[in-house]
Amino acid sequence: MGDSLITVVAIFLAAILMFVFPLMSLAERTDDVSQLAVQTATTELVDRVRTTGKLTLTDYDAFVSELASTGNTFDIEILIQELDENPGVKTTQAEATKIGENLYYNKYTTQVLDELDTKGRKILKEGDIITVTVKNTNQTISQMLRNFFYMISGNDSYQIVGQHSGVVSVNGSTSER
Amino acid sequence: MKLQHLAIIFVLIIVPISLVMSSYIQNQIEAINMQTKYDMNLISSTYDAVKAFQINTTNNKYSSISDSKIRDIEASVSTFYNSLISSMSEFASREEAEDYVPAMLFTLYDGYYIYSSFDNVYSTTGEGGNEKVDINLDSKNYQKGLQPYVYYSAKYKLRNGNVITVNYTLDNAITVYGDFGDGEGYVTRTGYLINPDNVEIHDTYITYNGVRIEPEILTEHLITIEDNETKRTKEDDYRYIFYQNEKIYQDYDENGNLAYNEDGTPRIFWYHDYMKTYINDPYIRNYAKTCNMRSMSAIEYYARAKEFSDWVKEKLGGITQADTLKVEDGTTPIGNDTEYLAENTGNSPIFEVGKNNDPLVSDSIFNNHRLAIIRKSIETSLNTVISKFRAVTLYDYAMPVIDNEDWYKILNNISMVTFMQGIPMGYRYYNNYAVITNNVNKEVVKAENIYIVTEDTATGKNREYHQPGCKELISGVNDGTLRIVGAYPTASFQRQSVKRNDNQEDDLHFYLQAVEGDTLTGCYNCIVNSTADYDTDDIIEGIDLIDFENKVENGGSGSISFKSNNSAYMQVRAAYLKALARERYDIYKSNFDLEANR
Repeated sequence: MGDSLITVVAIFLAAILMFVFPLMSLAERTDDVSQLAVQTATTELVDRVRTTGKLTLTDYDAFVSELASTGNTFDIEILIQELDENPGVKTTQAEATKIGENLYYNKYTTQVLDELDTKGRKILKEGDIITVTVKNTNQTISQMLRNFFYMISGNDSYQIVGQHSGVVSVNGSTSER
Repeated sequence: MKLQHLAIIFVLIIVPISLVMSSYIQNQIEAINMQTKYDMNLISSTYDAVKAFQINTTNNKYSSISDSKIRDIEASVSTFYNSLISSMSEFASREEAEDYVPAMLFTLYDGYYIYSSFDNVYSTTGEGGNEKVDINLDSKNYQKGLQPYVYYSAKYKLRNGNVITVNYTLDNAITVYGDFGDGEGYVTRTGYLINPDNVEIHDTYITYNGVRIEPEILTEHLITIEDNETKRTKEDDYRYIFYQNEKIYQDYDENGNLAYNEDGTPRIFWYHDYMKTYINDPYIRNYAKTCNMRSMSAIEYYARAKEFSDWVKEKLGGITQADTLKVEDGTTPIGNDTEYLAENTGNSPIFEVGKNNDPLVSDSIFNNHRLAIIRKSIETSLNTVISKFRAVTLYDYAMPVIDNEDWYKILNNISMVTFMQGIPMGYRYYNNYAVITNNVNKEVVKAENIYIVTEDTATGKNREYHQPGCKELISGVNDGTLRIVGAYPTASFQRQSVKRNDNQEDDLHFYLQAVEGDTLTGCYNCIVNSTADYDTDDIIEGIDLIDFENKVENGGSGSISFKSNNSAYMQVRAAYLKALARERYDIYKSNFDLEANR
């Protein structure tokens, strides 16, 4: 009786050790690799926008498909802050030495995507700021396995995240060709 | 074996593997993060360097003279290192940072500089007379510095076997030199290449592709120091023209009327060191009188370009890319090697300019060939420099591959490219580059470097500047609410400073285009929001304007916003083309003096 109980416990433990543990470990590595890919893609996109002054639909689509290739679904947040150096529309900006006159208008994901959809591009100018944040929206295998043992609740239960931002360094070219 | 034992053995095997795996991946993630950080640092340092170049050149009258340019570039290099050292804790000094920066490339209007290491050892002959002393170069003999200026040039073999050289620039200006073998001897000619059929010359004006171009009045707002002792300043608007690439302003008399000298010539001055330097040279005075202080630059540009283009067509018309001589030896034509240049223009004659090959249009044969030549030249020089750099590093270093989009940026505007490599990062070394283009400069006038200034028709106030492809601009002119007052290069909208003494707080600031005491602001649609609705190339060509939203390739209906014969569109186009021609004609070009003396 006692022996068979220990055997059952041993089988159960062995199953966890030999099956769940490697699976979890492997799944977490997969997430790490996805994390790596997502962070690289995000950085590349933002740096491209920073040095060309232009966010094109082609670049955005390439970014989305690169994210999709990790096998997860993502929520992409784009924030573009447009610099207005002369918000008061004052005389000839004569007080340009004044600090704090610069204002930023925010444009959020939907607004940016809307413009990308209709015009195929979003042009930025020197001084604008772009921020891209990517979070996974599905449950990755490692998250599922982890939830099996312990739960993390709340909205921000993402596992893979990529974020990058920077100031645009050139005025985007207005010519298509 | 018991199940428990199996489990323990399994754990013993799997745990180390998992640990190694996780540490390896962790390492990779850290490497990526470091790479991101280094990329950011490289981009921002390069940006700082470009900014330094902008500040130094836009406030420097002599910035286009090569001695001054070298100084500005060296200042920009120092800025780059200062910025890099302060942002990266890895580097303690400039010397240390220099070991990781193999090359910096500065592309300018008609050529480029490379800042890199070179050996500064004079190769002497040995005792025997002819044999060379073999000097063992250790890293100490290498110095960092600016290499000699390289022009964007290519050699072509003519049908008669003579070799001629063509220097290209970032726009449509070229210099041709060589002996054509037609008895004229060695010829050097410089000019702008356009489609000559577009230009019609009349008595007092010319027309270019339907746009009438006449002499125009240009105005700028200046703050001048009237008295060097008391530092009394005066603010006023002055009419100006260009004479040999320098602005000449006309002064006012005590009553505020335009001032004239006793001989009836306008009283003109240069704006030097914030002061009025009056011009006594009778030749310049007479020039100012003859043109009546109206800028003839746009007319001259098209008239000379027509003459030059016809000449080029006649002399170089038959040349195709097969006649280009290879950069490596300078003697063998590339012939059928279509891979040699990045753009294959096939058997199309490069200099046969006309409707189908208009050098002003970005994708013409001439332009494709020009970009390919510039790219080849830069690639060859960079490879040489970087292979030399390998000699001073301990590990194998290769030049990173520059992707096509970055080439596009390098070839289309003056820019700075910096390379950084060799910083250990996990299991590998960092190796990347940054390209930053220079928006504001006096080197080149790109198609997008022209802003159009408008005022409200009703009040004659409220000046705004727009990009040529701005919807607000064209519809404003179309419904009569806006009036075009002129078009000027982007550099004219930069803040100018007057330094009165060492105290920075006493500096005065002004804007060249803020004339008539009026406000001058950027349009919210095209400048602040940078929404360009129409393609600048379409405006140059004068074809119907279609909003980007409605372009068929963007999934639109293709409906036309403004027909090519719309009068508002024609006004915008005329102002734009006039300004583009004027500004291109007026920038400093080293070879153009030759042409003036013809």
